[in-house]
Amino acid sequence: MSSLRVGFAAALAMALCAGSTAAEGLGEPDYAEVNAAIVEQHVLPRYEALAEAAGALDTAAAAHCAKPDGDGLEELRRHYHHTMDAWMGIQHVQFGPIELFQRGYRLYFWPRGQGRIAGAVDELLAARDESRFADEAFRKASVATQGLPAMEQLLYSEARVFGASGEALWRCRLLTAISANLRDMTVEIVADWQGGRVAFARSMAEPEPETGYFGSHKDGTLELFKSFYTGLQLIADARLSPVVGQSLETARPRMAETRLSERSLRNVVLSLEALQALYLGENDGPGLGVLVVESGSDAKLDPLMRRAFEKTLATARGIAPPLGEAVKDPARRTQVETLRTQATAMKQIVETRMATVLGLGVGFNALDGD
Amino acid sequence: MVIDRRCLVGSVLAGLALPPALAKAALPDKRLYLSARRSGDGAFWVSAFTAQGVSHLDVPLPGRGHSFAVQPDGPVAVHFARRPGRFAKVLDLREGRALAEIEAPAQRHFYGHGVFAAEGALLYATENDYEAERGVIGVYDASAGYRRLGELASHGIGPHDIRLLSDGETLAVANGGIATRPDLPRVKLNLPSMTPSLVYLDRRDGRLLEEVRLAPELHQLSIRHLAVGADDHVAIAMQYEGPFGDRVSLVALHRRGGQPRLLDAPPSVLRGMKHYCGSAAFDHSGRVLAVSAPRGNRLVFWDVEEGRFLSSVELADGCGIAAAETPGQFLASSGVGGVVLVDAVSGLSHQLASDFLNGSQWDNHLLAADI
Repeated sequence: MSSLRVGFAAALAMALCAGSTAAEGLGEPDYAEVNAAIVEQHVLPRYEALAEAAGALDTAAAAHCAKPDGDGLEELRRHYHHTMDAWMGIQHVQFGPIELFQRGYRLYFWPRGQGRIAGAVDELLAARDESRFADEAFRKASVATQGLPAMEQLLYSEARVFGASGEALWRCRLLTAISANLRDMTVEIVADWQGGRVAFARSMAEPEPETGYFGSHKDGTLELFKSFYTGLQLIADARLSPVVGQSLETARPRMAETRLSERSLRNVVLSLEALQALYLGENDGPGLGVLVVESGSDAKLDPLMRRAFEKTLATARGIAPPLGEAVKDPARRTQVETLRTQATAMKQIVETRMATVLGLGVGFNALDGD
Repeated sequence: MVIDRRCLVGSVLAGLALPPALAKAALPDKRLYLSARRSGDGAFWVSAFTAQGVSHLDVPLPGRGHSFAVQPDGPVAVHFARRPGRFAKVLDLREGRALAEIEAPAQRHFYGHGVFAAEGALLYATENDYEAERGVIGVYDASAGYRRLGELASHGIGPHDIRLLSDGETLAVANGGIATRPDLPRVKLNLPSMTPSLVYLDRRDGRLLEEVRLAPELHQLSIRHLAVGADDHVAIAMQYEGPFGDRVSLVALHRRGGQPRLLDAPPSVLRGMKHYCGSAAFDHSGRVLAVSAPRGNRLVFWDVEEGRFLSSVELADGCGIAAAETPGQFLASSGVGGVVLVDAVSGLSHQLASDFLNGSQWDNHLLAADI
């Protein structure tokens, strides 16, 4: 762990005259180039993959409800996992079309939803009210019933029967309402990045100081940086810490994300991989790490970040799932504790050192405010 | 390197032409500025220093601190842990030392703010009853070792800042509206359904005197910090949790019985505040309002009487702000180090020459205390 210790002093720049000491080497063209590459090679392809997976899930849901059988359920679960995988690949991006119409919450009501999904789903099923499944009504319904967590509840809870009559019919109504909703929202997100009233990709590429959605290229990089930081924060503080607890006795398996479909650790690995791709760049485009190198102000940071991703990912991949069991197993628990420490350390390195190096004016008070 | 105005160390500060009657008549013996800080080795402290930047009190903390309740006319201040911390330090400002520590009760944590009643015997602290997901105001008896006497409902979720109006009985409480749990320490849980409020409570029995909300479409403006100016004008400084591109006012004024009034600023200033106010303070006259926007690296000033925007001054991660002794002037602290004296009308500022101030990362709040 010593290699991941935070060299805090290095981040303590006496930079009262903002932008003049930190990131001397970075200017608007640098931010612009990296933003454009990340949007084209990271954000858009990943949202497109999500829309594709959600579309296939919707097709599978409709097919299963038309002709329910055991194989169909397995097929549905496979598509659910594909969609979740794609979502883990882009969940860290928390600005743009995902912010509009509460799409982020409607897609994935978590971690707040923990413990509330089952009740909301049961209530909706018990009501047996067709009007609540109509498109417009469903889009405005509780976010707890609209997204992937409700889908997980339907596919993995004990009463996972779908059919054409009785209780099973209503389960089908909800299943297909969720899948259609996911399909529509993910298609809309891709469309809003590429066009529409805001056309986020263009707003980001052509900032306007007074009237634009983005005031500068630096504003755009700041949003990408915040997504990067928030992604690490979610892994350390929401995916791991509450489950791991302070000791074996106080570990809480029930707090594990997507516990029913037993994919908590897979979520950790996939979101770490997505953040690594945001840092390193992908599809031949640069990532945020290029700015770290170009700033020329903290030569040790880029190698440290690369090593931190490799080590943390190796730890995460080495733990036998499910997470809820691992934290209660003395042998595996040590590995989970290491993973939490590594993820927390990464978050701190990004908060203290990377923020300064990128010259984004993200400080002690600004990043994690109160 | 571009030299901007606030970096002209030692620039002459123009005084504000305010009616002399507005300025408080007698200056105190000694004015101290209180703030939490992080030192170069990563340790957390609570500190007090003079207007000249001389350290007067420096006490280590078990974790990150937030804000203070200052006993009126007394030498005592209580410093609260930052959410979701559970400690508070009782400080003797004259002696420059800690007197005692208060621990939040089981199933509660502090939000970081508190206020003393006028006679200084009772202390009110904003707290989270997280199991029930409701805000409470803990009531502590300063004359009995800060024993907790009980709690009042805050009539909202996430009570943050709390102030006392001039009648000595009315508490103003900012219910931020955001639900959090200590086991998910920095995760906001209910942004789609949040409904922040400014409430006025009778401190004697907790009775809800008035509840103020902004228009429904502004329900994601979290009401977080308060400042009380002349004639009990309550300024609310907010944080917007809605979409990044929305252009919304972040500061409003309210007086008991009236409607809240949003304060305007030029579009570039509003955008530059990045949806996030860190703290608010009135100047010594109670007429000039200062709000810090640390994410936008700026301080913004308004003349409250005329509802007029005055100026905006850059300060890297500038967050703590407190009235200086001269009306229209403030001391402001930076999260990357250093403290500046700034004039709201001219927009000029200069950095206090102090290795102690420059070598510390100053946390969210700066408060003035006269001892």
